[in-house]
Amino acid sequence: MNKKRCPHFSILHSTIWIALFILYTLQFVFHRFTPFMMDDLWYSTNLATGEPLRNLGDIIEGQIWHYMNWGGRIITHGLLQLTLVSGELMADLLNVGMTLLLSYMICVFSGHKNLLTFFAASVLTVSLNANILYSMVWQAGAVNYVYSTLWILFFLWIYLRPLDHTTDQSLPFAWLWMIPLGLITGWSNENMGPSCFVCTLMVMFYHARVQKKKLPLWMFTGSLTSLLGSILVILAPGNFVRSATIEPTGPMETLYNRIFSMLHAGTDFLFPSVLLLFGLSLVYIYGMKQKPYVTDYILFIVAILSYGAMVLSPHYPDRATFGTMVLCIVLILRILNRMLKTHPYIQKFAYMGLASLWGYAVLFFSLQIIG
Amino acid sequence: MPFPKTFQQLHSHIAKYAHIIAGILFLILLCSAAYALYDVQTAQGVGLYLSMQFDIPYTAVMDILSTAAFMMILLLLIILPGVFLKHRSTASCLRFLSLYLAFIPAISTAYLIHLPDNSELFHLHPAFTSGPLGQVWSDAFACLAPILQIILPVLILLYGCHFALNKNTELTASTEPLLPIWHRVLILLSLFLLVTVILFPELTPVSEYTIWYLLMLICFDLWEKMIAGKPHLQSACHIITAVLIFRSIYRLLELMSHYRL
Repeated sequence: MNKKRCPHFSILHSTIWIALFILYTLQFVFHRFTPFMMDDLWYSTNLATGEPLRNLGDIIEGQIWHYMNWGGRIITHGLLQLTLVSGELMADLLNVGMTLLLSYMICVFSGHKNLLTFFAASVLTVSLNANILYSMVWQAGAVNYVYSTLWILFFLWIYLRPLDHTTDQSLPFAWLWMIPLGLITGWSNENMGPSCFVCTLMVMFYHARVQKKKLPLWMFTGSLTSLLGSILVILAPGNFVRSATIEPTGPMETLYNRIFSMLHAGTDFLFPSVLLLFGLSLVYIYGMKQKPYVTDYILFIVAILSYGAMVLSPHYPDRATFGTMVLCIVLILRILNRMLKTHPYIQKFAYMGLASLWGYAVLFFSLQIIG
Repeated sequence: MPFPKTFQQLHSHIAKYAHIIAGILFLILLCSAAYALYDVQTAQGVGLYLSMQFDIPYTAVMDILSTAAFMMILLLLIILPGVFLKHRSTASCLRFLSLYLAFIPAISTAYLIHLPDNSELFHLHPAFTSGPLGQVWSDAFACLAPILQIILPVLILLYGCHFALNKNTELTASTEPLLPIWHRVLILLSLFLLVTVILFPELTPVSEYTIWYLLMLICFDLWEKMIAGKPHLQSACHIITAVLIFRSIYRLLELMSHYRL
């Protein structure tokens, strides 16, 4: 949009700023109204001894117990314990800050760092979400989903940016810092971690075989450490201890439960994201005769893998679709921005759609605060 | 008949039987809806209530008869819009049925059967007389939230797609307005129904259902026009229809599990 020629630009700009301010203020107030609860209370203690957390040593001791007896996600749960000891106000500020960062990361990934894209990312993260309370506001949910998705997106963006841009910008010491980044990405959770590893393989294959380029060292270190992280999260002894306590079911019951939970997640929790993504993609590909980029295909495959990986899990809670939803949002914004570039006259529809979703998000937060 | 060797051949091969496949899928979805309806309304005791009302000792027969009556209404609600809007193919019927089952909020058969003897239907929201007006807004927002989250964005997306796809064709917006009069009437009617939700809480399920149905009619019309204008979109739209069919099946299963578990 031409800033000088369009008289409505400054009004539109101001409106978006005000809308963003209202959205994030309400979100912060909702955070303030939501105390530490459920798992937060348990994670506020040294898991090994049951005593309240006093120092970093307690967190490490508790996470070792967690890894051996409860589950492999000790990176996110360790971070959760750190935020819990920082107190409710600091945790709430951190959560809103991380949500802002996540929206910014979605903008970066979508290739358009402008106010409208940031607004769209902020609105879609809330309005397409299957469970806002348990994935963004509840402290355990915020760390497990918002925080981890932030570094997962950053990791994926590092890999996918060479495919989007023709120039190869070198990353200083990437081979070194990709080691911890790959490790925490793989170790983040059971579905997104392995999906990210598969993504690194696809990118490396494309880079080497199709683009005929030499693979940089950081691609290997990132890929290997994400694999290592995935193995560590899946094969944690705590997972087996916990699964042994679950009452076994017959094969037919298990099959029905898995199919039902996948159907539930795909057609209910992820339904708004899937509908928006498919609707836009069909018009973009078949209506506007445009071709998606390789990055889009890879992101789509990663989204499907992160969804499909949950077939192995006995439970597929609504909040677990957060990572897949964010990948869908990245794809939606990548496609929408390209559509707006070639067909600028559909901009008003984008604004109207976002206004409706913003209305939903504001209503949701208001109702939760009042209730 | 030669066996198809390429994807194109396979596609044209399947396209010949598209209307049969659409018809079979329509029937499967309709039978699933009938089964779910029977299951839910027997659980709610509609047949039992009717047999007591009319003093007929055969509850099972009344269950079947009431299911058949509800199914007739459902069938009319699905087929009539296609007939009046001139979208009469089997595929169109399937698309509208999948849209209907995937989106429209379920309305309790027990509520419907008690509707005629509900003397408080047009009683004002008690908050108007007792004081806490915030409750009125809270109830209205609860009804508005899913409309803002799902149906309105879908409607805007469809209008946007319809506008974008027809922009450079002969069938431009100059010959056909973006918002035909009957679309505007339905939107205004939906807004009016939203007011009834605020005023008369007993009417909320019916009003909510009608709002969704009216807006769904516009979605259906836009979708069908889009396909008619760009026939090559038809095969791509099957993906969306498939998603909607899966969602319909999930919703029917969920509806039944709600009463059985």
